Amino acid sequence: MTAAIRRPSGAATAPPGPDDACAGPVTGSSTGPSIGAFGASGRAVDVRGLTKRYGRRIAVDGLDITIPTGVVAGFVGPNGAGKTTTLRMLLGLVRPSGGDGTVLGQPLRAPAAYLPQVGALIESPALYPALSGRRNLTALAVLAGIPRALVGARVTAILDQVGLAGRGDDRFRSYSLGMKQRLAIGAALLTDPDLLVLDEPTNGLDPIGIRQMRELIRSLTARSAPVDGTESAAGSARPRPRGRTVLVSSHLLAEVEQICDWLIVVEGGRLAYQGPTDRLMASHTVDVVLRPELAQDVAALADLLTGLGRPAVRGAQDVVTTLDVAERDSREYARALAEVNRAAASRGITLIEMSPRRDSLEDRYQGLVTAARAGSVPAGTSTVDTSTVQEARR
Amino acid sequence: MNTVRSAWRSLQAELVKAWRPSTVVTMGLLAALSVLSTVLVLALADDPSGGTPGPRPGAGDGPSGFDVTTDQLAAASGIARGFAGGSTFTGLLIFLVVAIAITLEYGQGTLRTLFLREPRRLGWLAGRLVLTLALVTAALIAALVLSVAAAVAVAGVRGIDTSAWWSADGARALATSYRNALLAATCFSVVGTALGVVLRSTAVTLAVGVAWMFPLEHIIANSWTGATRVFPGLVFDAVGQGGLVDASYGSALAVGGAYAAGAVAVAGLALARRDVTS
Repeated sequence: MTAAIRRPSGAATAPPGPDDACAGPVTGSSTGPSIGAFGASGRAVDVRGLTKRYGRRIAVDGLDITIPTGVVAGFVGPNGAGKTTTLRMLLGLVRPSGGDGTVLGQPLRAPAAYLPQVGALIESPALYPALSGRRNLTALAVLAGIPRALVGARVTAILDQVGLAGRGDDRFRSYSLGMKQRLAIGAALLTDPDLLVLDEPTNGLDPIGIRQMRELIRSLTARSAPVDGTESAAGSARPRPRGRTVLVSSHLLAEVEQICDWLIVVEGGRLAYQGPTDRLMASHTVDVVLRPELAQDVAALADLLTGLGRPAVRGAQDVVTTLDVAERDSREYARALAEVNRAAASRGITLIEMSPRRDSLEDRYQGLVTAARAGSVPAGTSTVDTSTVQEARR
Repeated sequence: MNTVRSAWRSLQAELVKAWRPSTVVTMGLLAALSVLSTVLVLALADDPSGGTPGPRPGAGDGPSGFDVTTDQLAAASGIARGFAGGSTFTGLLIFLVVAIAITLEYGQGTLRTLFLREPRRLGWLAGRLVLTLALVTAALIAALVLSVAAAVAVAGVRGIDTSAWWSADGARALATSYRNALLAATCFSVVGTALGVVLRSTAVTLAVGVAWMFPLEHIIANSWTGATRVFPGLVFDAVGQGGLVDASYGSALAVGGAYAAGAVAVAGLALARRDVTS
């Protein structure tokens, strides 16, 4: 059986009606979006000047966001930075005070045109406590316009995909938090979306739950959900032409660093950085820890480095210096290390450790947030050109 | 057209949600209230040979009031007296249920889940209202059947002659009472939904709705008879009772219909325009 899930009739293929939430001037095409429609620009999300005011308070302040198709994008920022409000605006739940753009190639102000192809988990999983997981998904599948004949098989496949096949008939209220999160992600996957938005999906989970969630998110980007609803995810995975785009908001920077290849950092409702995660982590200098065999050589080593014109920060057992090369430029990096090593050996100092000290995403993030609060966002951190988008998609 | 499709999907989805024991329990409760009303009307009916009955607190003088005699109950319309007399109770229950149900959508955050799947909010609201009214229609049919059964049983105990009940006039009385109860229930449903959408809080909605439409309106009506023709709870009650001395059926229906239409407009506007932040 290969009957595909069809988009809800009248939802994706028709222009928004007058009752559409947040409906405004529709400037885009009236035809439904497809991978090809937004794939040409390579941008799943492309909004400019997104703003939300609540009275005098500005929650989101002129945010420009670009997310290439097929990437896992991390959306990070301190509490109150405007992350959830931004996601709600992208999802048509909150009406923007300003700004415009497209989501999946459709106008931001016509969410009815693109939401059928978007799945989302916003904040805590919100489903009906008295209904079973299966019935919750069934109600949402019917609401989404999935043909009744396919709903049962589709729901079963989704339960299987999120690891709840054995608990599908239990009431939602009896689930653990991790199970509730997984069911809510299952609900987001019902229509086989091109864009998946997950707001704090690991919130409140224990370490095992976080790990399971990370693996689940990875699996969601690696392959599509089954389209015929009759086979397990493993059995009927359909490769996506450009992959599913996932936007994950999270406080856990270590998690973001592991799973995201695109990063958006906001602070105070403003953009502090967006671009490839690698680019943020890359640096033109690298700190190196040098440890002599004998602790009494630390002072001599520091003097030696100073004499070579390199900075030297003395510790009890080691010295930290900074090399003016990027670690990823391996040849230059090795040459610089060799130079230091030779100089030390010539003074009779034997080095037993020469290791780079890498900044974590947390260090970089802290720097960005501090700079943003001081009003000095590093140049180039908010501009995304076509080549950057194409690089991320590769 | 999109809104119609959206309403149809919403109706089907709401049916999936409603297909559970608590829905049957609620419908059973509505029927039980109707039966209780019937038992009270027949059991407390005055014997015409027992002298002039004293006034009862809250007793109505209209065609379906509680202050009846066994002679009146023996008439063809007697078969529907108890059911019609219970329309206030059933209206209150329906108001509570729909108000709680809609505000829970906000409280549990499920409204955002629904709107992510169905962004056409007016279509969703239309489908939900249609299903609510369909369930009310079914529940009132069950209530009517059980009410008639209870009426026959209590009439037998009290020795009330029921031969006139099984006539065309009796059937007409039943049909009229059912129609009136359904119209009143529709008004209570729509106003309960609208109040819930506007206030978004279960506690506030119940406090405002129940406190105003039931005790406060009746207190005001005790000193101003015009209240029965103006205030929504009293107007809906008059519709359910088929008209009262202070409010004719026609005027009650017109005012009640205006309230219901206004409530739909306000609910639609609030739902479509406001941000979903819960």
